[in-house]
Amino acid sequence: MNNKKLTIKLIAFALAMLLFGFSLVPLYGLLCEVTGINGKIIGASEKNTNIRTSTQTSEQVVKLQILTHNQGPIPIQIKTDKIEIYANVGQEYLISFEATNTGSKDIVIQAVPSVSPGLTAKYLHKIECFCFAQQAIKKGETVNLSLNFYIDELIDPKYKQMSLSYAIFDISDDIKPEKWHQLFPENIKIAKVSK
Amino acid sequence: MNQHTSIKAATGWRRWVYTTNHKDIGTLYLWFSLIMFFTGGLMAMIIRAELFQPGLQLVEPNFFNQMTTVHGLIMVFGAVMPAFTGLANWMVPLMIGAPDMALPRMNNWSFWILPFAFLILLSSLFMPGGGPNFGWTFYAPLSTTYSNDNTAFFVFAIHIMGISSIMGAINVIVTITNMRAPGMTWMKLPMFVWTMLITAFLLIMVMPVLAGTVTMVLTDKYFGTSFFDASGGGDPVMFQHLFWFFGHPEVYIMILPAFGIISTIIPTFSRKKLFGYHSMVYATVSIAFLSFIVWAHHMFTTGMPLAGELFFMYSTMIISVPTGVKVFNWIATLWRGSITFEVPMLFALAFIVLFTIGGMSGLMLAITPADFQYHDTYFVVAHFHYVLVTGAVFSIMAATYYWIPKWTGNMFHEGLAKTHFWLSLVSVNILFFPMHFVGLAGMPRRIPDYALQFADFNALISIGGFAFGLSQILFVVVIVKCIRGGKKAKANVWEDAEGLEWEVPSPAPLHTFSTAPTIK
Repeated sequence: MNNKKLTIKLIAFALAMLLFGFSLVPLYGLLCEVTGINGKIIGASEKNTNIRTSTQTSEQVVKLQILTHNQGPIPIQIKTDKIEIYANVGQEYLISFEATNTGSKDIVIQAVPSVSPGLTAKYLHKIECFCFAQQAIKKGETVNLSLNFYIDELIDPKYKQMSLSYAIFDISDDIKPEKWHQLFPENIKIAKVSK
Repeated sequence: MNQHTSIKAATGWRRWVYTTNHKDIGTLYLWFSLIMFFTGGLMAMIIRAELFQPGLQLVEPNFFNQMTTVHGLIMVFGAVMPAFTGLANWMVPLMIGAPDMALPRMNNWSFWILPFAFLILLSSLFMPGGGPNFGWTFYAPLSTTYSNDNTAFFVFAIHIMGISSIMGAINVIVTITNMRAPGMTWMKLPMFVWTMLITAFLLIMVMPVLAGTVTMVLTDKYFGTSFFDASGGGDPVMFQHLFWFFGHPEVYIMILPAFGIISTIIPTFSRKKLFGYHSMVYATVSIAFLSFIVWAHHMFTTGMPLAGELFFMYSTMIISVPTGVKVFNWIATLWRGSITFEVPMLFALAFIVLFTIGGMSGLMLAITPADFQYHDTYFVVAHFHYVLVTGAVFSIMAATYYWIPKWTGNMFHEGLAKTHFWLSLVSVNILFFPMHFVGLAGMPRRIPDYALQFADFNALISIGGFAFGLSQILFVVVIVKCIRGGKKAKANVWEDAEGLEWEVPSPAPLHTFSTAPTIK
């Protein structure tokens, strides 16, 4: 092979590796989704069609702990009455949260869930979750947030405990002014001077 | 040949800026690497001065973090990698009997963009907000959400360094593939040429991934993407996967050429052929391959499933097999050889012992449950400084002493060089060995202050650091003296050293092997 041909091939190879680097992003997402190894839950699940009636109790119970924590100093307080529940497998549960904005500004938050052990994430089906959407909370306001889920009957019985942890991010800075106006119709976003 | 003599050669600064000659470009790379070695070294001195005593004395914590970050970046991308590229430029054409590198103009370009990359990186230290302070590994979100506004300078500097390395690597591959003298089959290639070839392949495979990763950091920080931002659906752990996919092969990019150098020097001063040449080649290829499947051993504490931790633990440990083959072969080469202790040999022998210490601590770190204790402590710092300073840097010094008579035509001052060696050897161990102890005792890395029980060891480490730093001035003295004069060197500087580079006169004329040599 002459120099020119080989050089072109090697440059093409380097460019292909650049492409490969970027393609690792969707590949990583796919791998995590298929294997569930990083405890991520993606999107909403269908309603459980073969739900047992609430009078029936499943013999299999999973202790689910529910945690929320603010990622950084955010003036948001989230409370729930159920920090842990003994969930019957296959049964639907509704958990409600109260989020209060204790700060002096309107805030938009995004909750990011994470399940531990990671491999159980795919068995935790969320029908409705406040983490599916951005939540706009006015200053001083308290809003109700909800989570509706069930644990899949296919879950390995060796898992007796799970935790569902929400990291709360303040994403106010990433919201564009028009979107801001939709979220807070009566207020116009005041440009923040500093982060 | 006639063509060249008819063209008036550029002189003065134009000679260096316009040059397409592999020897001139090799020299430029080596000087650049030396300057960067001292720049990064100065930062190490600041780090060690601050850590001499517990408490904050000299610098702000934020500036301390900038020092650790830029020290790492400079030493990796500015000192070690350009030194190997420089050695490859100088020696590969001479060793394979080629008149020059295959792509001389690209060669010029790949060198001359490099100073600008480091100018950009270093200039950010003097801007409001300061330079990068998130560690050379620039983990997200430290480099995205929490970094200062000058991060773009860091990103573009890495881009330029990456382009430079990729071009250099392409040049090495094309040269070795196409320009070997007739009769020089693959299995007759000198070991240094083999290791540079494999290193070049590693470079073109991983540098583009690094370029992609820094680009994602750039867009996450400035253009609102969320590759690594959990609140936007990204994943900060993915950053670590992408980074170490580059980062682990990078480790071997910095050590494989060192293996080649040691495999060249040991036979010369043992007056024997290299033991197990074929196994050396296969071991190098195996190490290169394995380097791609071990990356997550840097991430044991991120919460991987058990199967993953086991896989990366075992695959990491397997690397010690081909590495062990190499160490065995060097020792077997020494076995019953007529050994003499010239300066390059002293550095090579120190390399074998000290690199093996670094390898052993690497094996300790590979054990997943133990790594949870060692992770992000000074034990890790001790480990990678043993493999990179007493490994890669010692090999570069060995190579310099081995080939400098060929480059300058003069022998170096042996007494001064030996003094340099012994001072370096003693001080480097005072510098890095106690780091194992403070690391095992729990001192975290990248901190400007530490708990009082680490004070004595840190003072000792700092003294070793200053001594090692000062010893390197002697290295420059020896080099400058050697360039200016000294005993004239023969063509074959080291008695019966093997290799085509010893068949050309010393100093090597600007143009060599215009007609290809015959390979026996």
